[in-house]
Amino acid sequence: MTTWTAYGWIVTCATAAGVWAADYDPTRDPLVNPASLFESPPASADRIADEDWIIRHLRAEPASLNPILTSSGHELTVQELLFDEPVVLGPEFEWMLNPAMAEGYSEADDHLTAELRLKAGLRWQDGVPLTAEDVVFAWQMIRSEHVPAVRARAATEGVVDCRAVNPVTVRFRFREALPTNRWRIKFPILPRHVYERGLSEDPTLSRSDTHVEANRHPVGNGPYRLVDWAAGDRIVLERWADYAGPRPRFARVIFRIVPDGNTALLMFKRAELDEMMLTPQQFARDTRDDRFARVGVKGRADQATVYCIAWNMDGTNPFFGDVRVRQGMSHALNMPLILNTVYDGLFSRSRGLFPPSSWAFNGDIPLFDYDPTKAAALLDAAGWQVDSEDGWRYRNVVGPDGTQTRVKFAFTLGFAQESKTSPQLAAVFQQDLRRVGVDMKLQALEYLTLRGRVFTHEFQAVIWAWTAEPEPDDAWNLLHSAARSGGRNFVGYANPDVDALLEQGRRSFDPEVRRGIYRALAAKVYEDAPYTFLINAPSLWAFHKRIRGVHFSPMGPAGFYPGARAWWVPAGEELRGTR
Amino acid sequence: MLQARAPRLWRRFRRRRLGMLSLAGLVLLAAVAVLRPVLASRLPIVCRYEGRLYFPGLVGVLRSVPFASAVVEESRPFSLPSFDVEKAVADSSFAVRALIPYDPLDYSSEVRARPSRQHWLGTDDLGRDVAARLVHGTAVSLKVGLGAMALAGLVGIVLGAWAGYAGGIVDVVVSRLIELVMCFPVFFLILAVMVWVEEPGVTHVVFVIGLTAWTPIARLMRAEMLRLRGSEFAVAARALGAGPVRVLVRHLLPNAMAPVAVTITFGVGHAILIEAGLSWLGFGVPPPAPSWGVMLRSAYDQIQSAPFLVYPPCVAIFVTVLMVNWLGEAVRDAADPRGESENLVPG
Amino acid sequence: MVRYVAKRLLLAGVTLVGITIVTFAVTRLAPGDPALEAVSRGGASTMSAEAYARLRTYYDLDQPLSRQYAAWLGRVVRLDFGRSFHDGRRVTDKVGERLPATLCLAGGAVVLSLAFAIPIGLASARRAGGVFDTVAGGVLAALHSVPRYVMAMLLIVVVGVHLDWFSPYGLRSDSFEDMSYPGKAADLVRHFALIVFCFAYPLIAYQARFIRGNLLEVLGQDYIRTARAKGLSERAVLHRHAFRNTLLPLITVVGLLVPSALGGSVILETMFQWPGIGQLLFQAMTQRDYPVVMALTVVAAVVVLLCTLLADLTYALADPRVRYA
Repeated sequence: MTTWTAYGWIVTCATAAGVWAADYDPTRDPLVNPASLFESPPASADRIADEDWIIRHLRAEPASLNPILTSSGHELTVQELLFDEPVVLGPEFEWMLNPAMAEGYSEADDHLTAELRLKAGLRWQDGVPLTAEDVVFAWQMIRSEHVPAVRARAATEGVVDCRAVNPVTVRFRFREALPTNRWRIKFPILPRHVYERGLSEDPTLSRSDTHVEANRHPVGNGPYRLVDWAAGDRIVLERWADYAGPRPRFARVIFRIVPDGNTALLMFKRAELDEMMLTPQQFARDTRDDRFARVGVKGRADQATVYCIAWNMDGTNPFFGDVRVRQGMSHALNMPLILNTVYDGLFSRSRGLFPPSSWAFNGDIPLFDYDPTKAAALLDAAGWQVDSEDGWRYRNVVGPDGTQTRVKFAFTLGFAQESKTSPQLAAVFQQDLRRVGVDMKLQALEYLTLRGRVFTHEFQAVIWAWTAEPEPDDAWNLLHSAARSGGRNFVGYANPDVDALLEQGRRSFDPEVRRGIYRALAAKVYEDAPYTFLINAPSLWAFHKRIRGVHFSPMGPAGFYPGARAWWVPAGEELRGTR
Repeated sequence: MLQARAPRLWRRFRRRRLGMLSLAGLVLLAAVAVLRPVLASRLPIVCRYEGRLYFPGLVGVLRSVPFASAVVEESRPFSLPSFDVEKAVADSSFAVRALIPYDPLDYSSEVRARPSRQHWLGTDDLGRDVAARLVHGTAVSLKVGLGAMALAGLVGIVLGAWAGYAGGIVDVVVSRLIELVMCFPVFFLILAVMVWVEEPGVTHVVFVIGLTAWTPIARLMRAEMLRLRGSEFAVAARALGAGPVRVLVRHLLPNAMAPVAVTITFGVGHAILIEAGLSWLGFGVPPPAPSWGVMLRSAYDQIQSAPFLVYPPCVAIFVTVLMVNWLGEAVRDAADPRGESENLVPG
Repeated sequence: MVRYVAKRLLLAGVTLVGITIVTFAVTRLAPGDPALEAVSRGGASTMSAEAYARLRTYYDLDQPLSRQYAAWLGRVVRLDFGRSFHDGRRVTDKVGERLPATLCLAGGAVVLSLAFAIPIGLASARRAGGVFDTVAGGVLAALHSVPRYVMAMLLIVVVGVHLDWFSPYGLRSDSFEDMSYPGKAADLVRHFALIVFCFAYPLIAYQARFIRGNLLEVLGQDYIRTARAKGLSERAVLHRHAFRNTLLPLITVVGLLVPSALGGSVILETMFQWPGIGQLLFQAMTQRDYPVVMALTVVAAVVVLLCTLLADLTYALADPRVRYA
């Protein structure tokens, strides 16, 4: 059959490309981080292609493009090109004013009020002037109980008042004098004249036909405007000619919605996508053929994403309340092997709470080494003894009514089934724990279900990840005992020392003092192991080779200012477009 | 006359070479599934360790046989979770290893190794032996195929026979039920249940497939009953004073079984395909269980760098389903030489 | 005849209601809380208890199941399937914009499969047991045992990506609007070919076998013998007399294939990036978007019921005996 012949041919090609080389060293791969990828644009505009299109990858279809309602990464990817915000995240995760929109920010001496000044003459894409009233309206909507603006509401916590002093000035009042207050006014804005319509009949901004239409075809103020959204297929943006900031470099930005990463890479190789995020396996192995080399290059940089295993300590299980058990688990995990096989040698081991890109990072924390003997000793010390009959560990647990029951050390590890690496990691960990006599069951859950379980504390252990906020005070929400309900302290962690450090850290105005506090906090938390910190995920991306001007922030190549707006193509290398 | 049916069917069936070949192949497959602890396992089949003779592999086989598990004594220390089998085998004076001396779940640092003498079909992304996983996957697929169709057969035969024999209101209700399930977008339902089940496993797959696949069987059974209940021998049996249940079970059912058997056979192949499809979407037997569908999906994700991983599950699914279909056709031809084609269900 | 049609319609209605009850029960009894998901989209659970309660009220989730179902049915009768839990859009809009892609696919697959199945079936029947019959039967049976997703996988990787003969992904190219008319047509063919083939090939085997079997049965009947006795050529007998009689059952069979085609669309559409209802269904299920799942089930069931109904009615028209069966 012809299929077989063709198939044999692929195998041969793949072999010739040396795909099975045992280990991969990204520093010796000529396609990784070529200088051209990071090249800054030339001074003269006619050396920059003006009519090219870029086709970007979206992992899922946005539910809405209303910037205060959205939350997922793929929604932000589209939205940041449609909407400008006065305060933005800079290239290195710093707080900065958007030069196209804002002119100044000043805080009063008591740090309780602040003023934000907008540029004069700003407009929405439909021509209506953009004023301080739009900022105030957005704040009101974010704080409204009716609007499901979950993420934005959490971000503006601590701002108690927001009003327009004049058309270009907004005044904020804060609840407390904190060094982190200026981060609290970083929120998206909304066109008031669009959303005010029908507000009385639909205060949620998400359920009337008017509002749904506004969320789907938004009136923005950013460099691009939406021209087409074909459900499940693609979203097409076009350059907004009247944009006040720097001229957008691509005539069109097309987002293709491709949920499957394998499919996306095949599309990339067919030049149907110009950029995409890669999995470690794709970065190290699937991109080493000629097909890829003909169209693409790869970018790799540190990123602020922390992977860990979260242990539920809220008392619903007899295992993880004991610090020795958590430490034992950390020692039992064969991290060297995992880094090599699951992550293809591309990821670095996490040193706790803060990623290396953070100013609060502590690189001196001693890591848990892979040592099954030590793990067994710690479990023994915690009272979990190996049963000589069946080889698993057991302990007598005293129930609330005083009765003793013999409990087997058997628990369930949940993980997101959409993830490519978590199931692999879980499978390795399962065998590791078996060797020390702990019976771990695996439960692959869809991400939504998993998140629901975590939020409602219905789990024993999960593989979990988050992207660290630029401000380390974010850890308060994660670890403070008061954040066990309402916050993100899903594991039910309570440690008075940690609480004290978190309180000190959020109140000091001296950066050096804060750095010392957060370094101590990171060391304390690593040792106490409410989470077993696994790895810091790097940004792994593929770009079409004609694309220049990429910069990797701690969040990846987009999602900050200027991010994707800075990408450009040299004149003469255009691939798409009509003229 | 009734008793003569089965041997006659068998005599006619035996003449079909393809059918016999498929039957032999499927029996072999079933043997692989049952014997998987001695075919692919880290544990040795027989081993003399510290002066004693152990049979860890054989114990594994016996444990999967119902009732035998009570008789078998655990082969400690080999059954202990933390026992180092490799070291024990190296220390032992005498050991017979399994044909494929790997467990389907044991990872190693040798990832995506190409087929070699050590790993016949190579290793996957976690360094697990593909041959071992394939052998253990056989059990999953057969369990799903046979289990689901046994359930479907039971439901279909009981409901169909009841409706056809009793007639009246029972017939109306059952016929409506059949139509309802037949018009149902069945894959939607299966998917819905699997997506929303708390901890999906083989049993769930068996049940959802079984409870949706019974309609063609019931329809056939009902038609056969309608045809047979007025036949001479049924009337004769009734005249001799046999009760309705006796007439049904002793006289009518055996005569209606042949076409039903054909449908059930084809259904086995279909059920195997559905399981693999569910696993493909990520909602079948959950990983790391070595199901063929799970292996296929993970191989597809690596097709750009390790295409050799695709062959084993592909071939396993294809050959199994093909054999089942051939078997079904042979049974049909043997049962009804005229040929009736209503049983081939599109996958 | 009118009475027969009325009776059939009534029965179809009963079946439809039964289907919706089953789906409703499955969706609502499943774990997971859409209100909680709507609240927690975004990574923090900071919504107050009142807001959560309000959301549950909005989604009718605080009502008993029977009341929820009654309310839903009441709206559906007025063709209002509610709003998606996921993005607040009208479900009719969401389903409507996706339906054409899947219908094109199903239609294309049926046409393509018949185009192959009819000649193969005729040729096989003409010399039953001959070389062609045996070979075609064997090949088709083998094809029939290849799961659709395996075939799709091979076609995408080999024919789509490596040989680059077809475009395996999506409906059209990004520059579609700027193409000339022949260019547009070529672009559509390049995008349709692989997925339509994947849909069609198992149907070919099934239909060809069906046609062959039916023809053989018909060929044994009296009127064929009469036709032959009249001196008609074997070809004329087969095409003009015998085949005409297998057309009706063939329509029924095609109608019955629709549910399996819809099921298959879930996997194939996700593999081929096809923005049809299979993809939507898969998304809606993982997002627990009950209104969308319900609407899609109803749509699928209606399509199937219509197909079987039409088949039955044509049958009844052609053969009066059926009406009294």
